Amino acid sequence: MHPDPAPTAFDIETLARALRAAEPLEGGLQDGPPPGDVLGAWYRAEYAGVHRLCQGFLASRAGADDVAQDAMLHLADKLEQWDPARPYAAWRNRVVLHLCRDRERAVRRRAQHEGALEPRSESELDPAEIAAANEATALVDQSLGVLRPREREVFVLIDLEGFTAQDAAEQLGVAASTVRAALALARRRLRAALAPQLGMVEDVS
Amino acid sequence: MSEPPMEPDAEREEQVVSDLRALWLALPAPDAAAGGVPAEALADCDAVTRAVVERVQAAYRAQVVAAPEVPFALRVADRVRRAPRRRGLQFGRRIAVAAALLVGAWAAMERFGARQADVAPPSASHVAGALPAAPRAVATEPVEHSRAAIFDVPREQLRQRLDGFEYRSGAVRIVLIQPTEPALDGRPRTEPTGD
Repeated sequence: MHPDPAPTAFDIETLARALRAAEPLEGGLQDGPPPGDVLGAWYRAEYAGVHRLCQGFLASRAGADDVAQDAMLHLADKLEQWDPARPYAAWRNRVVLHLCRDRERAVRRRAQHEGALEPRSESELDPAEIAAANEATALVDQSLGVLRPREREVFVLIDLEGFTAQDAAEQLGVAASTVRAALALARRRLRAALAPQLGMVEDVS
Repeated sequence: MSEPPMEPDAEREEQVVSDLRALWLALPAPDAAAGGVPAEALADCDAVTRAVVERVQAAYRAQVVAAPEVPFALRVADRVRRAPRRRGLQFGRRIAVAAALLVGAWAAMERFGARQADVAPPSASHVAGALPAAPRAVATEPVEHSRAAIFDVPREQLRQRLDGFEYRSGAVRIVLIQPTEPALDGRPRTEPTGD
């Protein structure tokens, strides 16, 4: 069973506003569903999109499985920090992005710590990734995996999620020119690495 | 006036981006909850915790226990455990038990190469709190570079297999403690008594 299709951004923003207006979470958690189950509706509407964003930033379906749930907890906890005068999606993306960066740092630290003792690839550690991988998932992970982290973030936000360069720059906290340069590099790298796998034939003329 | 023709490289980039975007939109939705926890127990939980518990249960049912699930399940259990003492607390303890059993079963499988059938997954009744011996200490606390899960598993088989075992690669350390009398104030006992 799959969750309901992701609603429009307007729906999610409306739900986020409703959730934000509800009683503050006590100790980070409520001890029961809020009136009208706004939290549940928000979760169902938001989870698939957050999961997809995590997969894009991490280039890993398994990583997304982990971080997306954590991101949902963070978003629910920190919703009061969102300024309703600004777009909800931009705020959400920043939260998700920071969590993904944290995870990548932790994975690198762990790999350094354990690598000498027992080198194991991430896929060996995670049977779910193997079980869940299908062609689209594997190709997306593989494709985004050729990019450097900053290039991947920019590419996901602009070319896959449809944000403008200016929006992406604000979410990433960098200049728009930096975003445009990273996007150009990302596209060039993808073109070189993926054209054959995506069924294209290099122009030899 | 028509647009000038695109350079071949630019065309290829456009095609790559277009193909990737199509794949992106075709990504399968994350697995939804498969159930397994009594509805009346889940009713005490917020939607996020509910989804996590259901996901852990679904992983058990599919006999696919993923590494990332475990520390996350423990984090959720810890958060719920530390929630104000209302109806959520007791359920939080039950979640902690489920998470601990998850860790234990998974670690046992990995450490001893046990067949999955050898390690009984927590049934719905476990999660609902119908344990033969209620846990007397459920706590998690941060330790250096890892998270310690200190729990009392009322399953002798798991106890024998896991006592003193440290699972390091999942950033989760399992410490089994000997059963003791519950604290007089009824609060979870957090100090480790055997490591």
